[in-house]
Amino acid sequence: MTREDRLEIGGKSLNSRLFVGTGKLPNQLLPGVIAAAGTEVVTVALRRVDFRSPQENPLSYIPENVIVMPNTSGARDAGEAVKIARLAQAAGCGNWVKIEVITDQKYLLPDNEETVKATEILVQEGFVVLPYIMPDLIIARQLEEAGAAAVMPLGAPIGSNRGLRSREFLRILVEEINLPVIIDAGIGKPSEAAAAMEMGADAVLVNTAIATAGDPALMAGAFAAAVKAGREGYLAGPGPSSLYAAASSPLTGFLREVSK
Amino acid sequence: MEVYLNGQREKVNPGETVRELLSRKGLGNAKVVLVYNSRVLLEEEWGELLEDEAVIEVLSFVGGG
Repeated sequence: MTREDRLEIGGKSLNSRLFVGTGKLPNQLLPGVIAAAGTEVVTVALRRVDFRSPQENPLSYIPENVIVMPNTSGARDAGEAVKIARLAQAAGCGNWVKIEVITDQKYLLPDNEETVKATEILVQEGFVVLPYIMPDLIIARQLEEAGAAAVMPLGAPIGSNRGLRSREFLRILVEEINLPVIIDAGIGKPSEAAAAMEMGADAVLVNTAIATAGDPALMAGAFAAAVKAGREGYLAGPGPSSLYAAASSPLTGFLREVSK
Repeated sequence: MEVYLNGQREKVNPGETVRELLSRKGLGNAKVVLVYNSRVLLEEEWGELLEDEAVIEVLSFVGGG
């Protein structure tokens, strides 16, 4: 593609529209996955250390030029999300944060109202805030008003690999919200990432689909190609669709026309 | 003398520093985030002496989506 097509977000200009979550991936696989994905933004979580089996910090496996965006997973309300964001920043993780406020343990669906509250506070504190939400137009508008850097609506429950179940509502956000819309959660296959980009999403965030693949680095590359293809398909402007056939070849000059 | 370490009571020795406690728990060289009585302690502050009943959270980045 010759035209300049970059994703402007939080004062950064990104070339890649594929964000990658590092959950469920052994640290040793991170460099290969990140390279194959060509990603410029990855997410991490903050947890209490388990003294019986301390784990190695994934940050040492992430290249320096990649933006590390801590999430606030584990937060059950706005206050906890704000606390986690501040700790992550104090720990030297920059000022990007993915707000994730969850109380439901079966579907891990985000609490939109608490997410708005946390966003309002953290934007005031200078964070680049990317909230994970149920795809709801009214909430997305409130987040836009609050100064969020993007909205991250879900396609399906976290880790479910079920694809764009919320498609119609995602489409509305893409149409109505003047912020980058990053489809987060549920995308299970490269074709679904391509579909999200084709409908005009600005980026996708993929974790489980890559981490649980037989070959995570190969899958990361497949997602990168799908995101690029979907984006270019969107930019190219798909032609009209119709119920009935429209011949691609001329309807005249058939060889069977024998003049007598 | 005791402190709360990640929610568990932990016996500590009078005169023990934050760094000594971490080292004793096997985290001598680990990159961790340390919150001491709701205040983030930077690594250069880990020489501080532990106080009785202090609430200490030792956190680390882990993989997450």
